[in-house]
Amino acid sequence: MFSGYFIAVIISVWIVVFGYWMYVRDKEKSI
Amino acid sequence: MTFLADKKNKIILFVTLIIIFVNLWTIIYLAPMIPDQEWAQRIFYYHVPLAWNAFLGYFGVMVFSITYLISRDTKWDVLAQAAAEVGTIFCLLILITGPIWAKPIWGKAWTWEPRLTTTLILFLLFIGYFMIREFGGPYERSSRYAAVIGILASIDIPIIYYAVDFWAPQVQSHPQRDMGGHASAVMQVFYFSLFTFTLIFINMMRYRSHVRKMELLKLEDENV
Repeated sequence: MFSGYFIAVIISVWIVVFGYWMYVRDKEKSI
Repeated sequence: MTFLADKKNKIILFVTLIIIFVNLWTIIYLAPMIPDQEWAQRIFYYHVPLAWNAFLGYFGVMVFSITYLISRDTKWDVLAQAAAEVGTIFCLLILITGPIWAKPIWGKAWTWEPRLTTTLILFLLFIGYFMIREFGGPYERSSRYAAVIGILASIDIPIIYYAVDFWAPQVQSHPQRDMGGHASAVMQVFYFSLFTFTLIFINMMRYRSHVRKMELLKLEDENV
C-alpha cells in the first residue's frame, strides 16, 4: 500500500518541474 | 528556432522521460523496504538527488558568475542565470519534500535545526538574486550585481553541507552525510535516481539558457 506522503512528494515534484518547463516554454513563445 | 525543433534536444528529452519512468518504477518495486520508515523512506530517493542538483546549480552559478565578472562575456551570464533558476527550483523542491518526509518521521514538518535553516537562507538569498536581476537597472549593471550576489550566496553551500559537522549533534535531527552503511540495493536505486535528476537538471539548464540566449539576441536586434 502506497503512503500518502510518498504520493504527495511524487506529485509535488512533477508539478513544480512541469510548471517551470511551461514557464520557460511561454518565454520561448513570446520571443 | 525553438528548442525542441532541434532533433538532438528532442531525443535527449525523450530518453530522459523514459528514464524518469524507469526510475519511478525502480523506487516503487525494486528498492527494499526499510522497517522503521516504510514508504516515507522512499521520499529520500527524490529528496537527496534534488539536493545534490540544487547544489550543482548553485555551484554552477558561482563558477559562471566569476567567469562572467572576469571576461564580461554575456554567454557566462546566461549560464549563471539558467543555473540559478534551475538550482532554485530544485531548492524549492528540497524545502517541499523535506517537510513531507519529516512529518511522519519526526512528528513535525519543520524544526529550526542548522541544515534546514541554512537551506532556507540559501533559497531566500537566491530570491534576492532574482530581484536584483529584475529590478537592478540596465542589463549590464544588474547582471554584474547579480553575479556578485550569486558568488556570495554560494558560500552558504559548504555551510549547509558541513552543517552536521559544524553544530553539536544534539541540535540536529538530520541524517548524517555518511551513506556507506546502506544496503547495496538501496544505493543502486539511489545512484540511478541521482543520474535521473542530473539528466533532468541538464535538460532544464539547456532549455533555459537557449531561451535566454534567444531573448538577448532579440533585444540586441531591437537596439540596433
